[in-house]
Amino acid sequence: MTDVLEIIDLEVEIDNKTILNGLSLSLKYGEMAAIMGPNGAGKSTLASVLAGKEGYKIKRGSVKYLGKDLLKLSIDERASLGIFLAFQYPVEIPGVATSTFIRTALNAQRRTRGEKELDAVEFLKLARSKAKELKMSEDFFSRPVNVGFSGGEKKRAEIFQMSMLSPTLAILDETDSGLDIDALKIVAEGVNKLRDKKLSGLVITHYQRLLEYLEPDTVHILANGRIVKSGDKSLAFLLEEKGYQGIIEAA
Amino acid sequence: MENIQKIREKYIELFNNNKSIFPGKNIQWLNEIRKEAMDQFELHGFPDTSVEEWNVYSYKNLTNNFFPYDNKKNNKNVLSNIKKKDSNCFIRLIFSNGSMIKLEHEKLPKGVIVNSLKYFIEKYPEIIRGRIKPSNNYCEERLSNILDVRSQSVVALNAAFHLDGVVIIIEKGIEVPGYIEILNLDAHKESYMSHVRSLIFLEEGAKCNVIEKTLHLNSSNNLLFSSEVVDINLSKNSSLSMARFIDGNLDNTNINSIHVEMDESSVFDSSSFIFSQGDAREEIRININGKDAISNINGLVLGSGSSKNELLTKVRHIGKSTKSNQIIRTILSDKARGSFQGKIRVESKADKTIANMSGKSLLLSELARVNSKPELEILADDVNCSHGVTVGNLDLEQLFYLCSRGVSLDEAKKLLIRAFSEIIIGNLPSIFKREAEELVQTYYESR
Repeated sequence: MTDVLEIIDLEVEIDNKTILNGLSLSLKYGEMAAIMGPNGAGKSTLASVLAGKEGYKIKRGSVKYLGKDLLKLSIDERASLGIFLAFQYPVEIPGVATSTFIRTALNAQRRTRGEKELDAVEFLKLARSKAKELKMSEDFFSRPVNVGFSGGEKKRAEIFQMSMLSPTLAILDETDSGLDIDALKIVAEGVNKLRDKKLSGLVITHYQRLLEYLEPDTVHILANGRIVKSGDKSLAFLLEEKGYQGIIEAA
Repeated sequence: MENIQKIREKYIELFNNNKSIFPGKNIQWLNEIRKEAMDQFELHGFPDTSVEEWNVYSYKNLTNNFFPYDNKKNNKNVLSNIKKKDSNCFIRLIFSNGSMIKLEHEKLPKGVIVNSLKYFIEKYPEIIRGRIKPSNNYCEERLSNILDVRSQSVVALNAAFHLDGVVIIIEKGIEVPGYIEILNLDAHKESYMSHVRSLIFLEEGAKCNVIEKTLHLNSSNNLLFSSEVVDINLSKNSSLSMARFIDGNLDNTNINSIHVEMDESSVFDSSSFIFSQGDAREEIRININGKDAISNINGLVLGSGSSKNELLTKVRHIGKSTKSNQIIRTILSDKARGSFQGKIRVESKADKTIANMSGKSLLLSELARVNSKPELEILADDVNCSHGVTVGNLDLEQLFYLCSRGVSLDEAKKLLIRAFSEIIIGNLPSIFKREAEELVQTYYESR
């Protein structure tokens, strides 16, 4: 079986500054990979580039997603093909109700894929069951997207969106930051539920705590714009012990 | 294009030659009001950009052309295009080219007095007397203590030439069910002017909802100039909600002036939706005279093509413990121009005033231009006031977020544009919401 994601020798620049410098990484179907690394290593840039954010210059390298040239696809095409980015800082959108937003997104994706759109009743039924799984109250359906949400609520709302859109590849950009332990567990459970359905994931994090719940198949250390070391989850524990500097120097 | 002095003379001639068609032509006090107004207009003609309230851009179609009266009045053909009165609509008055052509209502309850101005002037002029103010009543006293009449020339022209209008008088304690709808339709084939003069008087404790739509049914290559002057008088504890929609085509110039006097504990909620393709301007002046009175002003200015839409507000806090809140949103695309000039003035005895103003503008194209001028004049000591305006374009982070969930860029833009104006629709009383959503939707689909 081919890989879900295959990044080869990727170099990315922003404002004439090289952020990713020869990054290679591949991800198998159903694989959960943790990306760890010091601040400024390029973790969030990697997430943004994969989701298609503008402003980045691809200098060399390639990214294949499900065998397609990912870098040629628009942001919404990528989403419709199953890429989901859980934002480190979810964006507030006053004036757009959360349910309107998610329904618009879900139906746009279904349209692109040639599937039948969900009507209001079908959508609400699905949304209710997903909210219940994530122990979220339904109040937030009618609230504007992320407006007035606490940090934890925003992250949970990201996971809610993810479970509504059921992606093939989830990129979690520091989803654990700002979460208390209970919220962390709920988020991890939410992700694990989707793993049963062969979700592949890139989990960007600073802390091994999330990894205790998520149990990644692989762990990669990203430093200076490339993967400097890869291993299984024991690498995360080693990191906790030695710190980034120790590992990067050893590599 | 004609010489400006010549144009002024033509209006004077038109006035002198048409005295016989004015309703109430034998009523002396009304003739005096018309005459004084004409004199006021004669003095300065239309304002140019040297007049502060008119300095954002010039209204060339208005100032460089002469507009005669419409010779084919009472164009009832327009009625065939109008859908049936909504079930929430209690009374509907339909105007075409400045004259009422249809009045629809069930049996009116006692204390609800509604008909055309022409009707009252001809049958019961005493009801109207004193309620139509001399046109210099609306003029501004400048810092020099000199009354500046130049800014109110269109009001003067309206006072001189109006043939009809709306009269709504709600007696003490009466609450009008549903809403009253005023529909101004223009289906002109030739160039002309029309002036509507309206009076809305709510007596103590009365309550009323009014929706007014100025729509243009056909496009033509002839210039049209329409004006409306509305006098609103709210007695103690009365409450008026008003929503106004101003649409127009490329050749229209629409100038409206709303003047509101508020007594103790009265409430005035006003929402203006201005989205003409031509030139449209609305000026709202509110005197909050009585203590504890509250005024909320919402405005949505939408422009595309080469339209020019302008909203001016002047809220004067005169009574103690009065409140006002202004929320204005402007969205412009193409080469459209838009303007919001908002003023809050707190007079020296109006302590405990709470007055806020927020104006936000969204520019969707490089060539769109917006003018925002928030002003605050505070003469009292103990007040709580704020004012602020912003100008910007669509937020790239928000667009990325929406697209990253699978929404196309076009659809994401639409969502954000709608979200920007959502607060104005959200603030409407529920009885107006559906109508407003439909009209705004139609705008977005057609431009």
